Amino acid sequence: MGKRPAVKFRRRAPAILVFSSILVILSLTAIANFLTMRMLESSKAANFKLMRDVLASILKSTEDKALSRAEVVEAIPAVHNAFLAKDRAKLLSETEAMFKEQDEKYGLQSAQFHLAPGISFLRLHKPEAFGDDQTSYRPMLVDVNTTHAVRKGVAITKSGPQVYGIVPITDDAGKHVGSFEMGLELEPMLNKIKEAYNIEATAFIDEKMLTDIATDLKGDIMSPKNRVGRYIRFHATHPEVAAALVADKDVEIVEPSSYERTFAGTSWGVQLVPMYNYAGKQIGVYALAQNLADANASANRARVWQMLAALFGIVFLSGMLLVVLRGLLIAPLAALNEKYAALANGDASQPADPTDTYVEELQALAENYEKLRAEKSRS
Amino acid sequence: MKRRRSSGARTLAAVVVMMVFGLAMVFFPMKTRAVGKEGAAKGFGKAAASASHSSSASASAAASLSAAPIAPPPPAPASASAAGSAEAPTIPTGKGLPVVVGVGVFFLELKSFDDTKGEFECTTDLRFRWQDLRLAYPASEAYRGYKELRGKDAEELLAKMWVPNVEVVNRLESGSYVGRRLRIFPDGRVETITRQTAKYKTSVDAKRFPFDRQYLVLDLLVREDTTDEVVLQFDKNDVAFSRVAKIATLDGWKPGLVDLDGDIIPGWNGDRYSRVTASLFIDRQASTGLAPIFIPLVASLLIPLLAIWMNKATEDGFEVEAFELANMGIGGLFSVIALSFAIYTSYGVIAGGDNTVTRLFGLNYATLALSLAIVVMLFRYNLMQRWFGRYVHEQVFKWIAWAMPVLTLGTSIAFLMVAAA
Repeated sequence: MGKRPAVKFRRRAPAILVFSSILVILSLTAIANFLTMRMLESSKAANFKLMRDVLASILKSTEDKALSRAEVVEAIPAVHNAFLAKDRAKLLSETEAMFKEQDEKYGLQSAQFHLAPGISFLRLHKPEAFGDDQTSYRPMLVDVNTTHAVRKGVAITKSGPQVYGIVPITDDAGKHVGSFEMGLELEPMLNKIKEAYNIEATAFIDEKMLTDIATDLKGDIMSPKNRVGRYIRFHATHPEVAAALVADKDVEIVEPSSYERTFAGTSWGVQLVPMYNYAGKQIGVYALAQNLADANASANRARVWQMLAALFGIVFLSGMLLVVLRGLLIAPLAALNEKYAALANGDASQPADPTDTYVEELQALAENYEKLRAEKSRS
Repeated sequence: MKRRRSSGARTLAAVVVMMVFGLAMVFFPMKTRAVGKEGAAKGFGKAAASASHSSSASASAAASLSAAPIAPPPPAPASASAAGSAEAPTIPTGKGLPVVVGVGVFFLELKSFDDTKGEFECTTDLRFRWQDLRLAYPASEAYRGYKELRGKDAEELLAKMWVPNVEVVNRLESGSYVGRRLRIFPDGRVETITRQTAKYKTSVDAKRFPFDRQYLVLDLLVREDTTDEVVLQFDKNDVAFSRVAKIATLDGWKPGLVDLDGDIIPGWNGDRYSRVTASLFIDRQASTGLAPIFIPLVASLLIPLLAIWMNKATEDGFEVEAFELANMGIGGLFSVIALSFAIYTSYGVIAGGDNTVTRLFGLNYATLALSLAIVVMLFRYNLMQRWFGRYVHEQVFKWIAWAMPVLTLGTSIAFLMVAAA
């Protein structure tokens, strides 16, 4: 059995200690980095939730507005009586000015009286068109005329996608005779999100539904430049940002999803939320985008400082280990060793360094060396 | 004797190195901060003409304006013209109050941006839209869907009708040319576009220099009329209109997006005034600051390191005399002072506050101070040898020789990475 080679303490010991120190510091830095990332992710998740909550809140608020206005108008005696009398001309004269004012000021896009179970009696936004049966594509309308209860929600009609509030109308005997609805545009609702929360908001609507149902839709909405997958970008508070952040594949969702994307040097957090109609059928997608540049920059800065702190830690700890091990132990021991070797070979001319050069543990060794050297010199 | 000659040669080398650094820092060609555009090829006419190639409606409008007759005298502000007429036009109440005025800003040309002064000059199309039912007319009278007036005709009509009193509050001075176009639609909708080259004040934040983003802001504020009478707003048409021309460039900067932001300014006795800011962000091209600023800054960090590297530990202490290395450090100190003077003179924007450059200067001074402390304590008084013996003294010197450059370089990189984050 051969002799095992001796471990070189002067090389191995500092290397092991320095390596261990580096490992510990890097591990701590990695953990700190991980925690920073977790905090960032948590912050972003909270941001995405806030975006969803904002949308839900403003959508509900818009639905409530549509419903309350419909209830107020329907409750006006002159309007109510004109509808019961089926006097279309009188009904129009009673409501025309109101509708125009509401349209211009508050984005009221449509208002319509229906006879049960869903026959258009008067469209205030298009008085010349009436008499059509809407039961085939207006489940909310059918529901109101069936259950005789108020309903609200998003729906696509001939005028396009709107937020509706529908109230049932009953005669003096309590018999259900029809309904009245008010439809608010999506645009003011999305603009409000932008104004109040600085969140860019976009509404994508199913192109086929728009083509089939929203036949009265005006403008150049149905153009190729607005086509995103199977949807049409119906309204965007910032069309350029919306076009860059939401692509064909992104918009194909069936449940809320979020992601990050960089545009024009800015990182954006995008939250997509499916848009459902009253019947629970997905008719589009809401896209909300918020600038995340500040959050990301803060996290990146924190990471850089952590790495710099780790570098300082490694350098100082390594330095201390090397200075203590080599300066106090290994180098003096090596020097003494050389002197012992010379003495063993009969050379007693090399004195040890002054005693205070050595640490206490080596001082005895140096003193013994001096004794041996003195004896050798005498002999 | 031999050692003396060697020390003399080192001193001479150190002096030569410092002189080279000093001369380079003082005479380094500093780029002027006023980014100017030269050449008539990028002038207003061409910019307008090029804008006409843009597919959007607003760009077409801008292009058509370039061909519009130029009104020689600059017109008075809208409010002044209104006030000056015999019968002061009253605010339109046909649609109730407040009157909603849509705002859009198109940046046609970016002429200059002086980040030292916080001023920029650009040509913009400022669009206001509102509705005045008193101006409605039969649709049959407008074969294009609207009536359009330009130049003098537009000014004359604008003087007779109500226009919102909107002031660009951060405008410093404007050029002599002001082009104005007025469109009136049959339903009383009014649209004015004013093309104007002007100089504006903007705040500059150089914290992330040279990776900073600045904002060229037009601060639009309604004067006299509170939010009960007039409010500024923007819809998707205004957002689509508000952008920078694709042909617009700015030396050393990359133009980005235009953002509109609405706000309310409080006034006396609870009054509130409507405000909209249109801000175009521009990103600095980081490479422009590399040669004149960061190379000398990082190079000057080598001076204190050289003062360490040029020495060598011996049994008796150190090879080079401490005073020679101290001279080097003092020379380095003057070099850094000269460099800071040169940079801060040329780049006033980074002279104050906390930014990458001031941090790197701080690092320079800290490294110099540290090297001088090492020279005095280690090289001059041999404190390590006196306290712990020659072996510790040797090891401490070896450690300092690699630790200082590693930490200095690491810190410099960290400063740059923090700015770029």
